[in-house]
Amino acid sequence: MDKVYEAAVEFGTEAENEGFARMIVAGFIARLNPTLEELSDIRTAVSEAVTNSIIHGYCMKEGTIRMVCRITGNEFEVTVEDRGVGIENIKKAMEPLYTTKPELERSGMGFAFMEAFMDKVSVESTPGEGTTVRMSKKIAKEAALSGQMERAVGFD
Amino acid sequence: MDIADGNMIIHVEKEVDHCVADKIKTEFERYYLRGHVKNVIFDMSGVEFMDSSGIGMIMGRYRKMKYINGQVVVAAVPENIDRLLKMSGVYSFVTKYDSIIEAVNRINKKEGA
Repeated sequence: MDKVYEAAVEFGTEAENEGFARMIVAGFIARLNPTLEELSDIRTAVSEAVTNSIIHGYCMKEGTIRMVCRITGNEFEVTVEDRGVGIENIKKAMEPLYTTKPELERSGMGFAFMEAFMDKVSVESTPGEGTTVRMSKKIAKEAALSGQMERAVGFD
Repeated sequence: MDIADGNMIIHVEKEVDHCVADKIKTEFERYYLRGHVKNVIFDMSGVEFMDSSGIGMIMGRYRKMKYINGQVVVAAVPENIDRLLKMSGVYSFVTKYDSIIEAVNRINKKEGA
């Protein structure tokens, strides 16, 4: 039976918290000895989900975002939850290049990036109540055994 | 951010997310609205992280500069950032150069032609 590690954190919608969330996740997954690429992928996906909560969920106003990180064996799972406006049409929202806020220069690629960089992405939402984005990624085990110095320290 | 001969060189921060993208956009607007910008060169050499906000920021500048027939190019793009730019199709609109110097030379050549 794999050991399960879990951590939950809540923070507000200040834009600086996108970087804060990335840092928390990077620290949390360090125990899995991810490659630089896996680390970058996960940080990017988390950044996208948190940004969505701030910009779309709470429309840049005040609100609380809850992020839960979990490790089971070598699988990392993260949930980003908000109690914001919710998504009317999840399928449409997840279409590449679709954005409800073109005036803010949103590229509409947030979900596309999440799906490209994580193994699984699922979205639950109720308009008026909030949205939960759940993502997971398996961190390659073999890599953990060899080249430990090269990874995460940045030598190629 | 430096401007020389109307070429605005934006030295992009280490981490580009929505917060940083907004800052760059605001800085850019100050010069753009005064008509000081002819072309934009993004110096990506210092970038270690970028999410889709960065893509939106680059494409937003591209659209603004297109109105005034200006170019937007990226220079010195690190490998992991290059991957993102390729993935999102930015290179269909924005040219990549190995260095700022090359970017400046090519832009000036294109204008002279």
